[in-house]
Amino acid sequence: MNKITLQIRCWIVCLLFITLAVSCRKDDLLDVPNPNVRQCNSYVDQFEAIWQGIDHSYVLWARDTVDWDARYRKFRPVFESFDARRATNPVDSAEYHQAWKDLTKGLLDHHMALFLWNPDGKYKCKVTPASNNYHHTTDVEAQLNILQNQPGVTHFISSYDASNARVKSAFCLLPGRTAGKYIAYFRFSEFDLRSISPDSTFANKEFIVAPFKAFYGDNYASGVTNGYAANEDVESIIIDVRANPGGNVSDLDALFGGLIQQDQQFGYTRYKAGMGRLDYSGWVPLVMYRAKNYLSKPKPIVVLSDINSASCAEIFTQSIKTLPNGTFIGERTFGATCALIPKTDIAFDIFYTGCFGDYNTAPFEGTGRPSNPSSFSFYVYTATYDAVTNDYTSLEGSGVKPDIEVLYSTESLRSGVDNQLDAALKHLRNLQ
Amino acid sequence: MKHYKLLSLLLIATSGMYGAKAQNPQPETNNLATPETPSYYYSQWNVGPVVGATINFLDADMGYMTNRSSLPFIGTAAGISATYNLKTWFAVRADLLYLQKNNIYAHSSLLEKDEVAFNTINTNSYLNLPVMADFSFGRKVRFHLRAGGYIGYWLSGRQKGSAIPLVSEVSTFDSPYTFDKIRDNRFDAGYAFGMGLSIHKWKRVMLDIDYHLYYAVTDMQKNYMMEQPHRYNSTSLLQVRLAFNL
Repeated sequence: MNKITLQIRCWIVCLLFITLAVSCRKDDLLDVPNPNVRQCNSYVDQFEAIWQGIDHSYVLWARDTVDWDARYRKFRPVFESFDARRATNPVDSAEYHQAWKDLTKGLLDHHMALFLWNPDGKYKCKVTPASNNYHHTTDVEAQLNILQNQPGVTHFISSYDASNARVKSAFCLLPGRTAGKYIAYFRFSEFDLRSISPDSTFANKEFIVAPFKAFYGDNYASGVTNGYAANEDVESIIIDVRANPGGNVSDLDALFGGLIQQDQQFGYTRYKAGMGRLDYSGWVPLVMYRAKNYLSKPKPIVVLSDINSASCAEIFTQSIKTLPNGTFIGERTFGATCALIPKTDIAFDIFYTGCFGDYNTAPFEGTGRPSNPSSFSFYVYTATYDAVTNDYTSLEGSGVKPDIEVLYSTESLRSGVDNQLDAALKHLRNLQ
Repeated sequence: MKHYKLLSLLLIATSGMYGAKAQNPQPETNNLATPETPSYYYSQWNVGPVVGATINFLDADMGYMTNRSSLPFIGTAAGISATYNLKTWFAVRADLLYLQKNNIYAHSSLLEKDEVAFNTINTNSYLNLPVMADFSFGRKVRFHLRAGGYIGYWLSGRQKGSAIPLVSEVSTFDSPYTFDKIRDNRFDAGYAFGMGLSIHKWKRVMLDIDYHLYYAVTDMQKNYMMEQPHRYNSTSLLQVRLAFNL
């Protein structure tokens, strides 16, 4: 073979190699429908839609220990069997509920709730994988009765008997460390200032907002104005968010922002950035901004929280705890610290994380009835953001730990003593 | 496994050529010379530094996330390169390169009236070792075509950009990338292709201007979930080499 022939052959081999090589990559595209708009006609369809939706859009896979692939292999045959016996021996609600409960058992997201519609039986079931965390019900009425009967209590106002209000609140002044000085106590049941905004239509709105006005001032939505929190005779503050299930994080701008003298970073958030379970955006600092009206001088603040303080109430608790003048007294919080955006028309399709499915299937979100009653509708309520503290510690599932732990005691309340409130008063009265 | 076999075959073939040649007595320098190319233009070895710029295309499957996309982004490269000349028209070339395989992760949203974009620049640094067969022709300016394979290691990463904040006005981040042992596949391998010009004008040095393409066949992620989207790099490198004739 002469030199020219050899050279040409080598060139040809080289070009063939290039052609062959570029066709060798495994680049099949995923064939997964958007779970937010998926219509399901069978038990398996419903299973696939929810399994895949959680598989690709659940925000806590980085720390969740559930083997989701193994759950698929185990439970797909279960839902196939439900389909197979639809005509002869339809699945009953208990069996249906149990299958979903077992499928999602152990998922870390403490916000998570699945609302599942079975068109065969015309029933709906709700599954909350983290519901076992509740170990007591907080007796708010007993706690307020005890508060009202504290020695030296004045200016007591409570809207807790306003049955038509979502936000209920209480305020009072308690004797402080020194004579003539006071501890301002404020409690509210939910982060939902929208429902008591000037535009809301509550008939007894003034009654409901009275404790807010007493603590923050007339313009409570802009922080601390002429309320007792800013009064010179008020030397310290107790904010009670026990049994507060959370709500709208934007309320923190006023409710927390009014208590700080400078902007405060207390953690980071991120969300899913791709279809892979571990595809995330970068960590964005979580900063609370000082409100337009704020306390000019820091005062000692105690936040009271318990196991039924969840979501936004936990962020509030963690924020107070992070302050140099803040102390958290009570018991560890519920552990639903990763914020979510309940589904709106566009939320899921912006983030591709968080709540998905038929909005109307969730009783507290939409109409409570599936948009299409003949389909296997579902709504998955789950966190949009992964959140961590300043040192990148996740509190999801474990909750915020108190600086001074005082466990809820039913026996104590029955005997007329709120041991957590007592610990807060003792702490503030003993401060140097 | 098809691509691994192909890659292995090529690497074995090129190393075999090198090995077979190395066992033989070293050829005289003027063995590479032809009547048209004076002997001092060629030597058995050419070694020298390489610098260049990269543009990386990340082939990422975004599935139903229709407002997400992966865009190419530029980076830098530097290293050392060696060529072992077996014939006047055939050589084996190996580079040891630090290079960046960067990309932009784009996330558009409709939060405001106007579309808002939240982009992340992912800067990924790699150490790559490509080995290529080099076919060339010409005289003082020679044209080269190269093909081979490479192996590499993902050294580090950085994420800089913005995301939709929860409550803050701050939406930016700029931090080193933390590798995830479950997800991230730091081993990198693929095909290497190239073409370029070498200028043989001086006695001791030659100047190369090359375009190389590193086409990964290893996913950036380990196989850690059943329905996993793929993620492959294809890195184009425009580089200049100043090679010394040894």
